[in-house]
Amino acid sequence: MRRTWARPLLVSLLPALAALPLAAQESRTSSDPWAILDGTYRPPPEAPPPPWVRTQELIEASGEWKALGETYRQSLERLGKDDRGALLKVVADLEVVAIADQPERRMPRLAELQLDVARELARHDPEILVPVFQLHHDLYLQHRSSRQWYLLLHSVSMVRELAALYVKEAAGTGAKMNAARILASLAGHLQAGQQPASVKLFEEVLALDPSNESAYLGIAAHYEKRGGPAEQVVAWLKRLLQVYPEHREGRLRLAVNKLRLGKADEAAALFAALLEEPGSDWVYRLAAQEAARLHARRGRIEKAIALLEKALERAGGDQKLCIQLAFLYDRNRQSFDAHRLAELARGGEPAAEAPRGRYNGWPHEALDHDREELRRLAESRVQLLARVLGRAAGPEVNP
Amino acid sequence: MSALVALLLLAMPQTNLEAKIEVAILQPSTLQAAFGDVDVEAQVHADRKILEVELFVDDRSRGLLDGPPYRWRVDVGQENVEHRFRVEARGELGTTGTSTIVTPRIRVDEEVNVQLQQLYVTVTRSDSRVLDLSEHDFRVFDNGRREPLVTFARGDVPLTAVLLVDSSVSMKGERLASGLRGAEAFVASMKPLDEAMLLLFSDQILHATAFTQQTDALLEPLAGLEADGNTAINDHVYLALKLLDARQGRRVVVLFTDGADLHSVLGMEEVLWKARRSQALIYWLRLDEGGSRYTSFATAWRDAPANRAELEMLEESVIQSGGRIATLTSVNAIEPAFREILLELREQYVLGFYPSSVRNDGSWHHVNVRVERSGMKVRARGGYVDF
Repeated sequence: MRRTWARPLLVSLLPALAALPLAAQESRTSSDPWAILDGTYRPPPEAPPPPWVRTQELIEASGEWKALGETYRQSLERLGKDDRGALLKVVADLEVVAIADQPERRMPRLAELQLDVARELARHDPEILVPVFQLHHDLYLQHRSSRQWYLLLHSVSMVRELAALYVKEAAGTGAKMNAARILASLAGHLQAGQQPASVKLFEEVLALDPSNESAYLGIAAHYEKRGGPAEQVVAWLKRLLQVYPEHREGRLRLAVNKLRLGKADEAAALFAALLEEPGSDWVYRLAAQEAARLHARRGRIEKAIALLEKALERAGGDQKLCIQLAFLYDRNRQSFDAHRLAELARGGEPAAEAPRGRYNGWPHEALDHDREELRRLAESRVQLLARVLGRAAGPEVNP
Repeated sequence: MSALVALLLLAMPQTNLEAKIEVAILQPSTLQAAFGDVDVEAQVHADRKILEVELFVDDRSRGLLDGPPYRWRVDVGQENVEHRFRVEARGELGTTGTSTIVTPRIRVDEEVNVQLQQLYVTVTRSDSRVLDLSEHDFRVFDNGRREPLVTFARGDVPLTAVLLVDSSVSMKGERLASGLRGAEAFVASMKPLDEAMLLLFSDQILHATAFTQQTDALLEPLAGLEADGNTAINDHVYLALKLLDARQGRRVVVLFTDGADLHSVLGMEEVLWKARRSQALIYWLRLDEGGSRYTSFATAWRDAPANRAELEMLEESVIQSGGRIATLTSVNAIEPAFREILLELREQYVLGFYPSSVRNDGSWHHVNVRVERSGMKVRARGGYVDF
């Protein structure tokens, strides 16, 4: 297995990272693994590495890469046994040491080394790869929080390589769906800073699993947050609705974007259908706001008021509906009612998540679902991994 | 020994003592006129069981409670008249206690007549406020036509303020803490007839008090409140203006934020509509520690040019209201900025005039205030809607 499609993404991200300082230049404490290079490395007092990690010896020894590979293999064996946070720290430190001060030269070598271990394991049972790509997915977050930019890229690359290996070795629709989920989850994390890269990943998700809800919503939300074009948003939402015709968030976003394209009647029909459905979730409340705005824009103030009064009955003291209705009463010279609604808004409880904020954020429910499914799956495969590693590996290194 | 006797007396059954019910009306205040919804609160002390407590407003029964807390909300209407609030408590064996207060009507010189236009004017020279002007120094023009002044005041006029403090996630830590210290400083420096409301917002209202003169009432419930969420400025500026509609006298909105509107349900155009119909002054304390980062951003609701237009309209609303924008480049500047606003309000001139060309057609009248002395800068509301 050669890395044929991970490299272009990596390369495409590098220019954006060029301006970012390496973590080694930012902090160089006694607990910083980079300090290994000048012999001043001291384990962090709050989380000393377990005794089987021999990073300092490894870097000093000849045959450094082989030893790194061995430590990596032992880390995998600890999955499900050690505290996950501590294990992630150990592997993250190992990777820091491995790329040292030549990240661009040494990262491909590190990837090959880790993939070699994974390929060997996958020969026993490809399902073993699920906790492994989950580990590298979590390492992405670890490297992001410690601002290890090159290793963050390395994690993206590893997750993609491992997902591809898993699909190849496991075959079948289930494997493709699981691989799609891990890539979607990663893309969801990328959305915060590397939005174009997240779109590319989401597209790869859909190539694996055309029913992945997170990917359709993620791409549509990406274009919306960039200010369009609305045609592209609509196109992606239509693809989502082909798979899930009743998808409420999809229909809401479609209505909002139809409106942007000047198709007010189509938007109104979509809003009306959402308002007819039971419940008062954020989609309902936002549909009420937007439908009322549309009425008001068309000069139908009375209709807008009636719609919001009804929505308020269903959605309790929703602050935004109160403020919007107060404004419309005000505009309609119903000053007393406007004041009553303003007071109601003032006294209203804040929602767990404001609907307009939820819309403007990244759609997270589908991603949360994907992540939960993966977490469960990875946990169920950890014992299998431990058994195979027990058989395949030599005696445990424990000085 | 005497202490023991006193304790015994306190512990004795009260059957031989004269039964007594004491009633005190805690609010509304007798210092302020009552309009619209009014919260009434009474305290009752008695040595017997209280059976019921009844509220009368202008001699009409408006509510009956059989236990504490004795609180009512009544609508007294919008007419500028005195109101008589009486609370009557009835206990066992026919004992009663009452308390009565009367809220005043607004004096004519404070009343905002539909035609009388009031202007709160700040005059500066070389960035210092000028305090020695007389009414003869001012010229007021309504759509270019000079109007004679019919009222003129200088110095303190009671004010009602809404302090809008951005509590979105970017305000976490020292920014929010400094904002709250600023609000506290503002309220602590208010005069007895001044009132303020503190409204903490992100993309929704996180906390809002009633109008009050008490610093404690504004800030005590905030322990543990965390900055959270995104920013919706438009909705909350509108809400502040609307809540001030029901107040009399000088009205002020102080907006303190480090960001721009991301996803309000109301557009800034709608807020501007309201601002033009409100007599409230809007002050915008704009925290911008890292240089201007407001220039270009898109959201799912608006693209970058639309967001830019929203910001420009907010600026326009502030300027048209007669308030001002203060850009703060450090958190250390926040508290002094709140104090400075209050100081400025204390040193304004209040001018009143009757427009001579009212048509009630909803048109916008440009108002221009000039001072006939050299080097003066004059800031006042930019106009009003003729309706």
